[in-house]
Amino acid sequence: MTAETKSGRLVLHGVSKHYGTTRVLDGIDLSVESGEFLTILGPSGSGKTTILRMIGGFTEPTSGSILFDEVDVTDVPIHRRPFNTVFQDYALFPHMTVVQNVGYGLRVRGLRRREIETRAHEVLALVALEGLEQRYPAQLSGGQKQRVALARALICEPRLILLDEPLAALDAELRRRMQQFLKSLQRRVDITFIYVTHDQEEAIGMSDRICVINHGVIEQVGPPLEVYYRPRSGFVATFFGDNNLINGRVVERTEPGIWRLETGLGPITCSDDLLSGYEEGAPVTLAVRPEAIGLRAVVGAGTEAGEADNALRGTVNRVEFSGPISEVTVQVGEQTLLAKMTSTVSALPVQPGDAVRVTWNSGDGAIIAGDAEHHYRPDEEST
Amino acid sequence: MGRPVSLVRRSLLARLTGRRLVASSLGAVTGFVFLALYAPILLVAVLSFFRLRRGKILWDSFSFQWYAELLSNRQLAEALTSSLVVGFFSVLVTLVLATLMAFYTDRQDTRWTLALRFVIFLPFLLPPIITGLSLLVFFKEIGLSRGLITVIIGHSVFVLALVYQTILTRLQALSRTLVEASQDLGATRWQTVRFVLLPNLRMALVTASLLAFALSFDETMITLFLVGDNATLPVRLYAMMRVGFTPEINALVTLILLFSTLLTIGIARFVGRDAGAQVGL
Amino acid sequence: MSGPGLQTTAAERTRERGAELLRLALIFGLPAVFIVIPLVTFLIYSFWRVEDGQLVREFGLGNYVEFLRSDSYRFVFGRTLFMSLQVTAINLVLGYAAALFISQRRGRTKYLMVLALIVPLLMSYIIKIYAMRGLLGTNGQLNQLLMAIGLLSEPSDLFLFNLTAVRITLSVVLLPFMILPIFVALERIPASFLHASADLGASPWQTFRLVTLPMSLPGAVAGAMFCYVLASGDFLAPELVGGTRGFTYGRAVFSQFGMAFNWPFGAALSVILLGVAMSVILLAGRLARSRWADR
Repeated sequence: MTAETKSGRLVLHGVSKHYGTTRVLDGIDLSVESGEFLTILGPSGSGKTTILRMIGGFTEPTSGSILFDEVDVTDVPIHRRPFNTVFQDYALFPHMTVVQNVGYGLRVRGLRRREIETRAHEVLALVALEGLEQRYPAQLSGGQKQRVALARALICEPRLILLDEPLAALDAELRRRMQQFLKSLQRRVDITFIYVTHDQEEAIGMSDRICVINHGVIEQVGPPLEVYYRPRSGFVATFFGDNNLINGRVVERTEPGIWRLETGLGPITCSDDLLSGYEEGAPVTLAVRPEAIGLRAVVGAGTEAGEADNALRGTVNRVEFSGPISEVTVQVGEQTLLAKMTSTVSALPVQPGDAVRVTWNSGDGAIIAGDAEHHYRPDEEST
Repeated sequence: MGRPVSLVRRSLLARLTGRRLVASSLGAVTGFVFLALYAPILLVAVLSFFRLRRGKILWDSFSFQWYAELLSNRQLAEALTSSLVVGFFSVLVTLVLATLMAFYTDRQDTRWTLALRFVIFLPFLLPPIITGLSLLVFFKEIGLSRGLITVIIGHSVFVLALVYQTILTRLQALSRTLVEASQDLGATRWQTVRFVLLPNLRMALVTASLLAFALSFDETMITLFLVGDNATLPVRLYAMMRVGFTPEINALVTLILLFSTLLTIGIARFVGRDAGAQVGL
Repeated sequence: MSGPGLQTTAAERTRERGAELLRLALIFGLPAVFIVIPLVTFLIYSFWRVEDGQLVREFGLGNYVEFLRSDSYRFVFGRTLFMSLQVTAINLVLGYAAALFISQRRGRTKYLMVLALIVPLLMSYIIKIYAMRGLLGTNGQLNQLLMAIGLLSEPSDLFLFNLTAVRITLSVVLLPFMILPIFVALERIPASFLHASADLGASPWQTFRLVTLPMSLPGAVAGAMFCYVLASGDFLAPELVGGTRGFTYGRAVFSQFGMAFNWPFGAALSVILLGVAMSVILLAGRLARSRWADR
């Protein structure tokens, strides 16, 4: 292998795709390191599959370039790229047996039959499909087809494997098992995986880094923890589960490491590490996860200081029990905040109509520049 | 380890010329095919307007003379009537029968339905001469003399498979639960057919009718065996052609070609509307 | 009318059963009477004979023996089968190339090309043959064309009233039957298979050879079957363009029902043709049946 001398890095440089006036992708800049498991995540129609198809060579970018190992591969025909794709519908050739499907990539490279079969058996063992060599695709289950498609891509020893929602057709249980399998397989073979999905849990569970894309633009790229806890846009903040977005303005530094924000809910404190790089007076949005919010009943009229950095008065609107977690919506001033609390058998933590104190620490949450307006709504996805 | 995959591009020129060569030779063959299909027909159309001398077309001899003479040919008018009558009844018979069969065999792969399908496809697959002959011999044995009735039966047998397949394909595209939902809501079997299935099959029925009519209107080989004194148009034409070329035939042929072309385009539009981009036979 | 009760009355049940029986009678009865029985009658006929213009309804193998003894019938039979094979082979090459070309077009062009293939399919069969006769004759436009481009110095009679004329005519007339099934088969190959093949490193030619060709084979087999069966049984084309030199088996059968008036012998000759057609259909069925299809 020649990989030692080369970086194996894939770079997308200002890649756009327009159909007439419709912009499917707009100025995508992305760099994928060798051996990385990168997930491109976004709702349907966000352009994520188009990125994958352009890397694979199935779609030509309107502008921009794609570099691999510092070589421009934008115009290299599909069959000359050292990348292989696992298609969403697997695209297993129906007229070939499992072993013929898997050996296809070597056959078209002119390898001898004996060698093809030996290698095919090795790869089939890798995906735990020994014994099914002579079956036709029509005789396989969904999970088996998925693994044949994977083996077929692996046998060419590509530098990069592109996976287009490969688990979408499988049922929930099988999908979980395949996630673990894919992740461990990727570590073993040490090949770059670029994985497209619309499933946030899948992305968080498998990836080294996640690239969140929406309306043809990259919203954020980073490790799962970062994308989840430090979203940089309203979309990202709300795409991974629920989030409370509070619009406001940076006012001043009250004490070392603590800033005061002026918001519709009143003054809020926020720690330094969230706010680095912001000037006084800058409009910002604070995103606080519902699970970071605490609720306690108001007993007297006085404030109980010192328990949490932020404490706002509110009234409970609604309590929804859903298994281990209860979702509580609280009216605070003009805004509704969502909190998630663990329930106990004996009683729900609060009742609708209760006066409560809403608390969180100034280090929790994330700051998004400007007034974040775009909330992700799951029903957009179906369009 | 496998051979390293080369990123080096073959010279652009070599790639382009190779692919161009293949594409252009395929295009040339296709062009030849269309030429072979259309040149003879267009020639006939031209010859219906112009005179011919020693194989050369006299371009200054344009006239509608031969079309005018067609109008006064009573034999042809009678033949046309026969063809229309035969076409109408063949369509009617096959439509009813094929619909019944499609309903009965839809999603039923028993030995009986498979046998039925095999039998109704036989006249479509076998050489027409065999269908024609077997019916001729059969009618002779049961004492049914040749006439329009025997021709209608022959045509119905011939087009049944195509009509059946057209309806069945549409029926199979309908959701199975449609019928169950209708029954669940209290509809009788007839009401389900009337209110749910037939409206959904309308396009398929129109397509199938046009197709059946076009086939019946052109059918010659089976008809030659079954026809009595009332010749259909193709049979009359055949009789005229055996005698030789006449400009009158050219005129008639041109009109028929025009008619079948319009019919085909009509069918294609119905099929297109019914099944989107899908191209059915 | 059915009452609101949950139980069906005896009268309702009788009526239902009556309707069901009528339906079954139509569905199974009519094809049995008008397809199966005629074929059987015709099979039986082939064992009877004609003596002094009278039909003798006695079983015998005389007609078949006569066919086997007669050099001329055997010769015409063999020649017709071979000619049909040639027509099929020519059309397979031309038809596959055209179908491939058309399937690679896009949108409106493709639609119009397919339409242009279906139009001749539904055109009157004898009219097409008649048109070919005009083109092929000594004074025909094919000769004119060949003379114009200098391939011929004087009109040739090679193209009419012989077997070549029959070959050319049948090829042209049967071309759509070959192209359309191949086209439909090509259209059914999902683009993702071609993408997958290229993705795995196959060149366009390798993709064609390993994916497109095998997956379109059932269409080619169906087209070849239509072509062969129709060519071998045809009598109109040879009758109109074949002349005396272009005598084929179909004409031999046809003549038994015309001038010769020997129906049992004609029936026997067509039973032999039927055997050929059935073998071709069964062979095609076996070739087109994929081991890999969903079952």
